[in-house]
Amino acid sequence: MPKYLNDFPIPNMLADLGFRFLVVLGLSAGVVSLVHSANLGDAWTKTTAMFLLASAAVASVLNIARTRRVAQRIAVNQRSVEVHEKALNQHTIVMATDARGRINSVNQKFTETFGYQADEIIGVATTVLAFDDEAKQTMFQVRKHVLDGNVWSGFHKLRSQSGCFITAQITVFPKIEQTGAVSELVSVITDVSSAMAQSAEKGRNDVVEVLPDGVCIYDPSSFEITYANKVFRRRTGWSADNLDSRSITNLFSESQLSSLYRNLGPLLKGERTQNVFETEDEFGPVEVLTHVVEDMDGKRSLISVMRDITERKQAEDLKLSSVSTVSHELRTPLTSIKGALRLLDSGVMGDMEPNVAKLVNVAHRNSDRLLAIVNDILTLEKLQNGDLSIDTQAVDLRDILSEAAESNAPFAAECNVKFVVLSADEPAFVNADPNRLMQVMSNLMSNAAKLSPEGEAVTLKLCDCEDFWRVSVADNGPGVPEHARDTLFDSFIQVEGLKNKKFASTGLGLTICREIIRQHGGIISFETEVGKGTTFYFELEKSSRDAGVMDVPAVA
Amino acid sequence: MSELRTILHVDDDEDILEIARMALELVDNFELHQFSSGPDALEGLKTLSPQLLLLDVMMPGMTGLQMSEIVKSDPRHGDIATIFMTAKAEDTASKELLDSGALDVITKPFDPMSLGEQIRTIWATRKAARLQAI
Repeated sequence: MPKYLNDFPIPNMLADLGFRFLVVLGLSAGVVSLVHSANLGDAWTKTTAMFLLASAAVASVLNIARTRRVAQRIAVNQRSVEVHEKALNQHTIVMATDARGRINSVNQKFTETFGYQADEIIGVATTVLAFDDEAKQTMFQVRKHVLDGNVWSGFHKLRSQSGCFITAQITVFPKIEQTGAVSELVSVITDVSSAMAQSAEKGRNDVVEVLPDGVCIYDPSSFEITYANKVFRRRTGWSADNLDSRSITNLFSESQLSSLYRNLGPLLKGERTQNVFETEDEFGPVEVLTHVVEDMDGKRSLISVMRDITERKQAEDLKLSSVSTVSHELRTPLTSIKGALRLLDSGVMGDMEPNVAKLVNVAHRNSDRLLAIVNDILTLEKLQNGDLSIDTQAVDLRDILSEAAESNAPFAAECNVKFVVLSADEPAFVNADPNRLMQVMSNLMSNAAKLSPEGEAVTLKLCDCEDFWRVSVADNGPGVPEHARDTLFDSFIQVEGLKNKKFASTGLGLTICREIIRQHGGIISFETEVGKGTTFYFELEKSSRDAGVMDVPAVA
Repeated sequence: MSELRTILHVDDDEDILEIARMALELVDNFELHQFSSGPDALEGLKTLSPQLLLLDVMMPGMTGLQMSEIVKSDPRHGDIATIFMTAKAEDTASKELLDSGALDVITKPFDPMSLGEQIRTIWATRKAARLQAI
């Protein structure tokens, strides 16, 4: 059933014509009959005429009543249309464009959503609303499709005047004139950005909610929580209902808070985008990885992922204690072996036959070698676990070179080589642990001394390389064959042809050097030529004399 | 400051006891009393009055540290100094061992030819420093 007569204008018009026809017919027939009856004096004709006139009068009255009723309904309908338009404006954006894609008209909702006033946007190409080039391309294709008389529906990435991203659900249909030509393209647009965002957020939250790590999202200035997943809530004892009133700072003690601020500082200043630190809650040790994220509107949030590292810590402790135990278990028998051989070798127990003395000496030398390996493994384990402290201070590399040359001189004498120092004229300060640098120097210098031909010099050189100081140790030895170069710094690599029978090495020296230099933030490398020699070098960043103690990040 | 002459050495490893005996009695001329466990050494202390305890740290039953604490708590032995010996490299710089009042920590393996000299040097420098502090 139609609600309004207006919904069916043709029957309404027919009804009106019908009524009008009846009135005119009744009136004409009545008047004609009345005149005719007056002339004839016929009562029957007179009665008929009176009846026709009365019918016309009734039809006329009925038509007036009907017309009034129709007018009332039209008025009601008009008000309804206004209400509909108002409702449409609340929800839907309507835009009409010409065949060239220029905007002819927009509704109120358009101006509210896109931020353009009607007079700013009318006459402008619709591509101004495209979020990116891909969206522009889609717009061209849609226009062509609709100009061919089709209706298009789909999703589009649009952009408001302020640059905000809008996900729009759009239907574009052609307005076809009586001639069959398309005069306008009418777009009915619904902004589904928040619905899409909510749906995406819900999907994301569903996944994050069940992650085995604790996840929370909070404000970078107030530290108030906007989201916390199940694991995070369980660890903090917070319920999902009252998260709004919670701040991340509630979780930490005062000393932990200062550590938190120190760790988050570089993130908040924009110096870094992520940060990791370790702390503890009542369940045990946790590692907190924090990211800064920025949404489409430029609003920043911090996302912290809190991972329980109890098992990892236990494994690390176990590993360290096994290394330490093995080291202890090896050192104890070595104490007796080395002690016994040393006492024999020293002659304090009496003279030995030359062959016996020779064998005792072999055993003694090899027990020294075994101990060196045990010590190097332990050092390396500690370096790799970050358990060997690097105590940095302003160090003048000229002092390191001269001290290294002096303290390693006895070894050079044993190898029948000498150390030549080419130092710098000016102070060469770096932030470093002098003991660890001496360890690196001793390793490089003993390698060089072992490989140098007797009577030759090993050169220690200090070079100014702009932002860095380079320390090099050069020998005239056999050089490193090409096949061995890539793995030279790896553990237990000893290059065939570079082994020195008299002065054996552990195969860990260069690995230790690399770890130490890495932990100083420097690089270590070498240049070599077979038959000519090898130059090992490391580079450390320059610092001033009073640079003081620097935090060197432990590299695991 | 008296010269160091008598040492009480405790280690659960018989071979190390033997090497140390040769080092400290043959290479040097200390008066050495050796025990292979803390409780045995405490028993021995009832009749002995050494100037120095040379204690292995990791021993089953009673560690060197536990033994030194028992000795220190006994007023009769209040002035006996302690040097620890350890095969655990990280113990060398152990705060716990040094905080217990020990003169120093010697790392194993030790050089038997210079052990006596090493102990004498520690005795002389640390004892002097300790007396000054008092």
